[in-house]
Amino acid sequence: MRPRACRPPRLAGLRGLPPPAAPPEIAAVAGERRWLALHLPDLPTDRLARRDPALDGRPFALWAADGSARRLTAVSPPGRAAGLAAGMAVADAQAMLPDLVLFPADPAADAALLAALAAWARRWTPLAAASPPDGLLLDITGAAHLVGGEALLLEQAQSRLGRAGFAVHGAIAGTAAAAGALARAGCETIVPPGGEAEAIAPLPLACFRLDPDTVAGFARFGLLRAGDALAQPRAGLMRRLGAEPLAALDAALGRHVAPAQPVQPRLPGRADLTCPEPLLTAEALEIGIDRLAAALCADLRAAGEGARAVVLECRRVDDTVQRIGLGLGTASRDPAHLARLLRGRVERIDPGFGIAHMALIATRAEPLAAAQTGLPGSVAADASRREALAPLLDRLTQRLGRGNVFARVPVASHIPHRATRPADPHAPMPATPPGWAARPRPVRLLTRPSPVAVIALLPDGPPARVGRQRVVRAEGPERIGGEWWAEDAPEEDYWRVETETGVRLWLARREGAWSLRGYFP
Amino acid sequence: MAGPVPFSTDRAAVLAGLRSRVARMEGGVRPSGRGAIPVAAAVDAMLPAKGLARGALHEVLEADPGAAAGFAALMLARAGGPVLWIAPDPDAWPPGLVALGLSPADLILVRAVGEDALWALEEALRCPAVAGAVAVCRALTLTASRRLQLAAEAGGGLGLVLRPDAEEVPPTASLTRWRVDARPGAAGPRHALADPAWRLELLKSRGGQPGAWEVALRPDGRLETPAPVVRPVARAG
Repeated sequence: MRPRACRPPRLAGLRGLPPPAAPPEIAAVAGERRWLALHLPDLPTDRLARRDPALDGRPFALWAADGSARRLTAVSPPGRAAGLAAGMAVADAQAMLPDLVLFPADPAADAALLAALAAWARRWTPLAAASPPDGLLLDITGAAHLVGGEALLLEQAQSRLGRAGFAVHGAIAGTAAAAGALARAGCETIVPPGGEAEAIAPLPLACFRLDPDTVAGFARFGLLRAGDALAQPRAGLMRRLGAEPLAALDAALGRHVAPAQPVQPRLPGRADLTCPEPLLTAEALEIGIDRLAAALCADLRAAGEGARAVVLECRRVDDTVQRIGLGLGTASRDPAHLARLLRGRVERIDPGFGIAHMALIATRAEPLAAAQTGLPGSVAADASRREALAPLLDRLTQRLGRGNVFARVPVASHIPHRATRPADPHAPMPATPPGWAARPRPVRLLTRPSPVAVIALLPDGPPARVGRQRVVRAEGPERIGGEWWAEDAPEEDYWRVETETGVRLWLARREGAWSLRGYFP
Repeated sequence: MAGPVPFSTDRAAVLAGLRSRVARMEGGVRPSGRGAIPVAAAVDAMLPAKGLARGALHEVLEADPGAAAGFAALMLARAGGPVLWIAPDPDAWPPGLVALGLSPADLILVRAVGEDALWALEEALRCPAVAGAVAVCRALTLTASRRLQLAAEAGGGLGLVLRPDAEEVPPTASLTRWRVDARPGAAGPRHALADPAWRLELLKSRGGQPGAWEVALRPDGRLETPAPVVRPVARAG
């Protein structure tokens, strides 16, 4: 792996420390880790019984088509008590129990439930994995003491799953395979470190997830239990039955490690790109961004969501991480739009010796349904129009800054500067106040009033000259005062004036001082 | 006339076809679903597109700030749809623009200066959802105006550039160039303002003739030419 190659070499051996220990014994490897396996033997039927309490205590079964025959795949415990078993033909089962309730099997729902349970099991350890079709595997190394020890953890896991309506058997051992086999055998035990060989010896070989033909092959030699098989010379067994059954048994003893895939918590969306070669150029990064955006948007589309905020993480070969955050005005899952926004900020990434890994994470997501365009003037039409505008507003906001792209929404105030306020341009606009069209108002309102030299013939009279121009007409005064609760808004007299050249201005007089407020068309 | 002579069959149609081909090559007015934006009856008669063409860039020289802003806002309002007002200090004020027919819901203000303003205008014009956009900027180079013109052709919106008035304006790729100035309103009492009156000077019009008009803005938003003073201007940009 390239990132590791760049790490500084370990210098422990050079500092006078004792030389590294010899490779640990296999038993020691097995003793290092602790695994909790939970076996849910009735997962498919428990799934249905949890959903429909009326099924509780009644015989029911799931079936699936097996070629032209329909066979039971799972039977509820009352059904088993009545003599039904998985693998039986549906016709036979109905002959035995005429009021048997039948459901079609749904392996996808079972897998989804198992994945959800694995995510739930992260309450005990960050490394929880689903072990399909009907098990959970928890790496509880160093985590058991948090709930008071392995015995309490096992009891807690079993009792919580039992209360949730699942039949469950759990076992703790030093290897995942041994714990799984013990759980499937129904032995709810805790195997002390190093005791795996002893613990699995009496287990039937069927508990090791071997295929039935292999188990039958072992049985032909009179080998029914794991201990029997392990006591035989390996060369002969391997020649007759293949390497796979022995590998399964070795995994239980820790001689061979089978990896488990711990579940990751469900994020709104995340796309990863591990680069085979470190990326150095902006073009390469842009190609990476395109791919990440496409992957993330496919993910979001499947979830029916759109991203409101995304983060691009670039991990360099020297393990420093650079992040670029991005906010979107409306939820979006358009890969071209996301890629375009991110490409504009690629130059902020310092590739150093190269980017080894990129990730695009939707840190905030919102439900985003397929939009329906509406009739002109309707709310839906307004929404779809704003949606079409959103990519543009996002681009403008990205470059110019958040406060620099805005709409002006009405505010109930007579003071000109308070009659509107800047607002998010994505938000729907409130209705225009009826008073606006009634009063003549300037098309441009100066942000700051600019003092102007005005000559009035009378102290309270209309302006006669503005600057060097003679005023031909003046309309006013319109006295505008602040709200009585606002102390900083004294009364002002506003005049609309037209000069001899036709310039039309909005002037205001406050305590004898004139200022220009805006321009009329 | 004997023999098959293709050009003699329908002279008018052939000429119209050639004209549209030339217009396309020049990158001028593109025939679009929505017609040009009407200014005033007398003015439209002089413009090749019978109004301010959509999908094109138009320059407005600001002889009077109020009149120029009013003219730009009126044209944007007539474009019908979301519009962007890009300026170093966007002080376009919705309570006054409502009277010109520009709804506050359609108006988005963008604060940008110089290069950023031109970039924002180009981005806005490229977006088909935008009906029109105006940028207030000091300088407009030939290259920048060419980019804006191409962006407007791609998006189909009305592009306006509000510039300070100057005697010598360097050439640009805009379709038309206007100078908008205020005129004294019609005679009336001293204590009430008359309808706004503007002098619209068409300094340059690609494929058309320059001209000048005095128009009055009626309270219902129509532009009328009370006295059609069509005076051809010698200079063309």
